[in-house]
This record gives sequence, C-alpha cells and structure tokens, in this order.
Amino acid sequence: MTSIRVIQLKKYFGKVKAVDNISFEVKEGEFMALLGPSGCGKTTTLLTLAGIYKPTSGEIYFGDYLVNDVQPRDRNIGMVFQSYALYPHMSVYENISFPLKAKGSKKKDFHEKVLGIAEKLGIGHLLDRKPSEISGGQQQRVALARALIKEPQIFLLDEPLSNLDARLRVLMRAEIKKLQNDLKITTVYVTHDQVEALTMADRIAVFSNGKIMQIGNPDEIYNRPHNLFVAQFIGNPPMNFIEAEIKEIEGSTFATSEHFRIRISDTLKPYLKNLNSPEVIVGIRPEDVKIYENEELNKDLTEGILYVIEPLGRDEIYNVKVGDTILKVITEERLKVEVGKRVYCGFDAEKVHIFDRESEISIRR
Amino acid sequence: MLFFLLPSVILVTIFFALPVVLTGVLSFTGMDYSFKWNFVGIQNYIDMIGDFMISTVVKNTFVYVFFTLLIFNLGTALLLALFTTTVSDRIGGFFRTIWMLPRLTPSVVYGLLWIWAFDPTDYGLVNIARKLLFGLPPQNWLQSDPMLIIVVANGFVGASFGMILFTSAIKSIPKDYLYAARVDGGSWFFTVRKVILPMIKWQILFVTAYQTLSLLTSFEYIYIITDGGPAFSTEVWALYTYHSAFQDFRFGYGAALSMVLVGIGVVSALLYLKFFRFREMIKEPRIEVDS
Amino acid sequence: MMKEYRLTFWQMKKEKITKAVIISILIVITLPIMLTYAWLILASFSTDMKYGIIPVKFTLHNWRFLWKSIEGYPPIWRVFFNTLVLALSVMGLEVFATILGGYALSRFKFRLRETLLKTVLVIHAFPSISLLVAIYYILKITGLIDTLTGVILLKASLEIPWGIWIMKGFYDQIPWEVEFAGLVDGYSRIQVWWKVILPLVKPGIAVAGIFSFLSGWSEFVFINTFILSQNTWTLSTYVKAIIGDFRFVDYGLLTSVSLFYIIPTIVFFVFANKYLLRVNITGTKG
Repeated sequence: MTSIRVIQLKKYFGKVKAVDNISFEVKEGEFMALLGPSGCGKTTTLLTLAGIYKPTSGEIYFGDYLVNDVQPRDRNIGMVFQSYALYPHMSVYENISFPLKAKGSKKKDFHEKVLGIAEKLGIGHLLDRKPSEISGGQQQRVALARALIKEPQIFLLDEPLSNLDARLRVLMRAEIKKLQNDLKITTVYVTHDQVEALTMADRIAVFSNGKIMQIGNPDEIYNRPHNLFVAQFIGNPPMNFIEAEIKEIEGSTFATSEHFRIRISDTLKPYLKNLNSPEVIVGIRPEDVKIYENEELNKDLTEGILYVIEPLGRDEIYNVKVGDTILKVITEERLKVEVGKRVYCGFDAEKVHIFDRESEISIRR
Repeated sequence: MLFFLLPSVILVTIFFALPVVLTGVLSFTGMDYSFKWNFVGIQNYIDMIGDFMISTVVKNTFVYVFFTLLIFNLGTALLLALFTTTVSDRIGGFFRTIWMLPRLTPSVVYGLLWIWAFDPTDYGLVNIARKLLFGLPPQNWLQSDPMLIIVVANGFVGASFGMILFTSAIKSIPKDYLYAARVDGGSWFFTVRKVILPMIKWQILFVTAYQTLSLLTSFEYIYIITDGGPAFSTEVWALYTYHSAFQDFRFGYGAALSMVLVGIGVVSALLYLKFFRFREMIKEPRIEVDS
Repeated sequence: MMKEYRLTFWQMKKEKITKAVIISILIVITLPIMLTYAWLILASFSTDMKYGIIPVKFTLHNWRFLWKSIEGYPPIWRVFFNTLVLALSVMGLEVFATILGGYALSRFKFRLRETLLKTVLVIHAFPSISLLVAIYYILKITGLIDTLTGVILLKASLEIPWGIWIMKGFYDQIPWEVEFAGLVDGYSRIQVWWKVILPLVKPGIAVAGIFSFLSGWSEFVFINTFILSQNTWTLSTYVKAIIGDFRFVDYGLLTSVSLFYIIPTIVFFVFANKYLLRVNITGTKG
C-alpha cells in the first residue's frame, strides 16, 4: 500500500481558487476523510489526486514518487464516483472487468477475479444484468467492485453514499469501513456528511473555501476544534456560540456579556494569554449544557426562558432564549418545565471553548 | 388562436401541400412548355423504366450518396467531433467554426471555390498540391474524376451537420463516465470505442438516416459545379428531374420523376416519426443511470 | 509492495503526443477550407496568383464591376438591390409567421396540436426540390413567375415550419407564471403576447431573423428556376452567370464578385460564431 503526500497544492480555474494551498498526508492503509460543505474544494482535491485535474502548483507524492505528470490510468488507483458512472450499455460483468480489459487482460485471466470480487460484495448473482436493471445499492457495489478489481494501491471515493436513502446509507457506511479494514487500502473519502466522516475515518481534513481548516482524528475534530468553522460545522445539533468578554471578577475569570456569566476553568486559564483582545466567542456543545428548574446557589447559572422543545425520541432538544440568543440544549432527562417559563443553564466549565472573536481561532490551538 | 396560425397555414398550404398533390396529378399528364393538360395515365412511369438514362442516373445517385455519406457526412463528421472534443475547447471550437463556413456560404460562391480547386491547369489547388508534394503534372479532374469532385464538394458541406450533432452529444455525456474511463485505463482509442461511441449510438443512427435522405435529394452543388457532366457521368436523380423539367420542358415526366423523390421523402418522414420522435420527445438521452 | 511509478519517456509524453497528432490531422483536413477561402480573398485583390495562392500585385481592377457594369450584365447595384429586397422580405415574412405560429404551438392546447407538430417535422424532412415542377405551374398561373414576390413567398413558406419549431423552443422556455401574471393584471391573451412574451423571446427573434436573412441572401435554386429576366436577377444568378462566362479566363473578377456577394455571410460569421454553436445545440435536442 502506498502513502500519499500533498504539498502546497493549488488548483485555480481562471480566477476561481478552488484549492488554495493545502498540504496533508495520508499514511499507508489509512482512511482519510475530506469533509466540508459544497464547493469547498474537496472534490477538486480528489480529482487532482486522481490525475484528472492537473495542479496549478504544488506536488503530489504517492510513496516516494512525484506523480504530478502521471496519467490517471497509470496511477494505480480505484475510484468510485457519486453517480457511480456505470457504463449503461455494458452488463455488470463487463463493467467490473472493464479496467482489466483496458489494460489488455484476457477473459481467461480475469474471469476468476471478477467472480471473486462480485461474490465478496454480494452481487455475484447480478453479473448479467444491466445497470438500469439493478437497485441503487447494488449499483454502488458494482462501482466498488470495478474500482477494486485492479487491486489498486489507493482508493478514492467521491461522496459515494449521497444517492442512497438514509437506511441504506447507514448500512453501506459500515460495509465500506469493513471493506477498507480488510483490504488495508489507503483511502481518501470525500463527503459533506459529518456523521460519515466521524464514523468511518481514521483522520479527517475539514475543508472550507479551498483551504484546510483542521486535520485530526474524529475525537480531536469533535472535542478540540481549532477554529470557529470546524466548531460549527461538526456536531448535530451544532455548537452554541455566545459573544462575550473576558473579565476578572472577585479573583475568578469569567466570560461575560449582558446576559451571560460563564466561569473559565483553571485548565483553560493558561491559554487565555493567546488572545489578542478580551473579546471572544464562547462555544459550548448542546450536550454540555445542563438545565435546572430552579436557581441554585454556588453555581454560576445563566437565566433564560424555555422557548421551544424539540422531542427526538431518545433525547429532547430544549431551546432556551437568553436575551437575543437561543441556546440549544440536548439531554436525556425530561424536565417538568413548561414552555415560556424561566429556567437556568449551567455550562460544563471543562467543555467550554473560547475563540478569539477576530481571528476565530481557538485559544487552545 | 386561429389568428396566430393563419399566416403560416395559408403559406404552407399553397406552397407545400398543394404542390405535393399537384405533383402527383401532373405526373399523369404529358405537360410540356405549352402547359396543356393532356392526361396520359401511367405513361410517364413506363417511360421512366424504359428510359435509357435511368440506369446511369440510378447508379450515379447510389455511388454519390454512398461515398459522400460514408466518407464525409458520417466519417469526417465523427472524426471532427471526436477530435475537437479531445483537444481544448478553444482549439476545438476554432476548427468547428471553420468547418461551418462551407454550409453558410452561398452555394454559387462555394461552387466557385471547388471549381478553382479542381481547375485543370496548374493554377488549381489540387494540381498545385500534387506538383509541390509529388511532382505530378496537372490533371483535368472534370474529365477524369467528376464524381470525385462532387463527392468532395458536397462532403465538406455535409460533414458539418453531423459534426454539430455529434459534438453536442459527446459534450452531454456526463463527465463522470469519462473520468471513470480515464482512471480505469485504456488508450484514447479504447475509450472512444468502448465508452463514447456506444453512448452516441442514437445520434449516429439519426445522422445516417437524415443525411441519406438529404443526399438522395440534393443537387444544387452538382448543378453548379459539373451540371451532371461530363456526359451525364454525375447526373444524379434529383438533377435529372431538374433537367427534364426545366431544360427539356417535360413537366409531366419531370413530375413523375419527382414523385419518386416524394415517395422516398414520405417513407423517410414516416420512419423518422416512428423511430426518432420517441427520442425528440424525451429531452435527455436515455443514458442516465439513476436510482 | 510499493508500486513503481517510474515511467518511460514514452508514457510521460503520450498524452501530449496524442494531442499533437490529433491537431496535425485536424489541420490537414481543414486545410482545403482555409486555403480556398484565403484564395478567394487574395485573388480578388491581386492581378495574378503565383502557385494559385500567392498574390502577385495588389489591384482594385477586379472590383471594377462596382462602378462599371460588365458587358451583357445588369448593373451590380440593381442586382444587389434585388438580393437585399429578397433577403429582407423573406426575413420579414418568416419572422412574422413564426413568432405567431411558434407561440400557438407552444401555448395553445387544441386537438390538432400533436398532428401539427408532427407535420412540421415531416415538412422539414421533405425534399423541396421534388415540388419544383408543381410550384412552377402554380407560380405561372398566379402570374408570380419571374417576380421576386413569388420567390419570396415560396422560400418563406418552405422555411416557416422549421422557424416555427425554433421559435416554439424559445417560447417553451418562458415560465407560464409570467403569462398568468399578465392575464391577472387585466390584459387579453394577444396583449399579453405582444407586451410581455414577445420581448422575452427577443433572442429567438434575432436568431430567426438572422438565419432567414442569410437564407434569403444565399437563395439560388428558386431564382435560377423561376426568374427569367435579367432585371430580376439576384447576386446568386449573377455570380453563376459570371462563372459560366469567365471561368478559366478571369479568376480575379470571379473572386471579387463572389467576395462582394458573401460579405454579409462573413460579417455574420465574424460576430456570431460563439452563439452559432449554442443555437444549433438548442435546436437539435436529442
């Protein structure tokens, strides 16, 4: 298996900077997700890795070899497209064997291989059908088979699950993850769905507007976002953000605003020196806020009105209006408060994130 | 609503519907420059079969249609479409634009260009090229290969129809298929053969059918360049019809000859409607693999 | 297990070589067109041509027909005028009929709609030359033979079906809501069409107008067949006659007259080649 190194890659289309100076590495056998909203440059990056786009500048290494000028078909990659791109005039068998035929392989050589991989992916019984005659999920497996039949060193996937219905998506997520695990193939997976990225990937690169915002494993991305973009992109329901100022009050440090007074924990305090000014944005995930029906002393609670409740079955999302801000709080507890009544919110001090308001960078960066 | 359709309906009825009927009627008369209506039954058709010129005309027509269609209207058109879509759009567009020139140029001027190109002295383009490249003496093309001249002249015009259609078809192939083919490997030829050509199958069929009819009934450029000569060696059916009617003033006979073309036209139109209307009604080609 | 990515020189350059070969082939097969048109322009301004394509000396003598008519031929400006009248009238008539007809087929629901659409396609595929004999008769008995009017009516009639198809395409693009709004605002259908819809299909009208003008300008067969006296000649018959008389004798004159004739074509070409391809693609769906 091969590792990938991208160094200062830029891809411009005329004036449009689709990919603007990114660098990252994918280790041998690693599953790397490129995550971001539409138009952020992740697909462009993938197509550049495939060799379909040529970099405007920058280098791409597969292992120790610079592959900038290597043609897609010589890069030994397998690729799955969002639309699957199965040739409609060919049968499933012919689609899967296409890459081997293209390299000049004869039927007697590849026949066994095709049968083998088809069995492995559960589509062995569909080999005579045309793509229009099989379901979406089956089409996807054919696309996977076609990509993997030449036993590539690198596996590239461009939002392969977005055309599937929700139930099938959950199923295939696990299957693809298992497949990758078994084959130990270096994989780059593009998606806009954070759940896919968080559940499948070993590491995630979060993209925005052609730049990488952060690279890390799911735990780092989720619990230690480097900047505001990553913090608000990851997590459902998204993180709550409050504009505040850092102030010293009676020997303790707080982030305060008109309605909020949030204590800064001792672990967090040393990082405050990274700030350029006392103006910050406080971030707190909905699951790290606790709601109390009564005001309790010795806790720095924030007062608010219960605005609306969104029941989710297992959890409930409480929307609490504090001044002009609506805090989303998620909890398994069922509160006995009515909408419109006063409630009190407590923030888990260890889980508070502080971002410099101007640079949008986390102080823990 | 009637108001909207009236002008068109009136004009089309007088100059299309009526002539169609009239042609049929006239074909049963022996009308000539005196414009007298003398009905002769099917005499014209009998004459047609016995006409000593007919076999030559038929042969010329088939040779002309076959070669122009194959080499230019299909062959060159496909080549142009495939090539101009492989290179960058600017360069490809440049060549496609140039290939549109013949079709847009008034026929008499276009004819002049080929008259010059095949000029029998060493002043003509082809003879110059032969002299410069192979050192050969000038040839009188009009005498030796008149069919070549008309196939080439019509071909350069004909190629642009298919070129436009095929180019648009190739461009509408979803990019993912082409990317997948590039990743999976295979030379340019392989991709063209296995992926692109099968996906524009319908367009190829349509161009073949449509252009065959077009060629069977064309005669304008032939009239201008060789006028059926020398000695009827390039006299195709449509031109023969024209000559009979407007040179020999045999209107009745000319109408009968025209009826053959009308017949071909009607049959083709019905075939199109059956085969291809189905395609026209569906906006997108049926190649989307969508779940 | 690391894959070797060391490539031969051949493999690296393969893509570039393929493209170079393709461009070379394209140049070779396009050469006839480029050379013949170049000759047309160059020969018209030159006294003589060496190797057929290299001008010898600049001259305007070939263009003398502009100020002095050639023996036995009508003055060029009369012919030019005829051609202009023909082209403009064909354009006017076609645009008139097709902006109406296209709207009807796009917007009105009536029982014959399907049939009419099919008819339009049939007519377009039909060989018009097969009707020349009958048309000659019709023009003769209506007294329209040897008149430009006859040719104008004929040409427009045969091109109207295609024009309707094109205009229909443009009308189809306009959302129904715009018409509803007009009707709700108090206009009658015709007023809505005139005031609201027509301005929205201006590009379509421009397309129809340009193509019908050029078509009328280039018309040859009908003129050749139905026009008998020199007075009603158009540039196409003029050029044909000149080619007949001066072939092999005076290519300079031939090319200059021809170049004069195709000026509108070239003008159109230079300004519109970008839009040309887009229109063709829209008009030939499927």
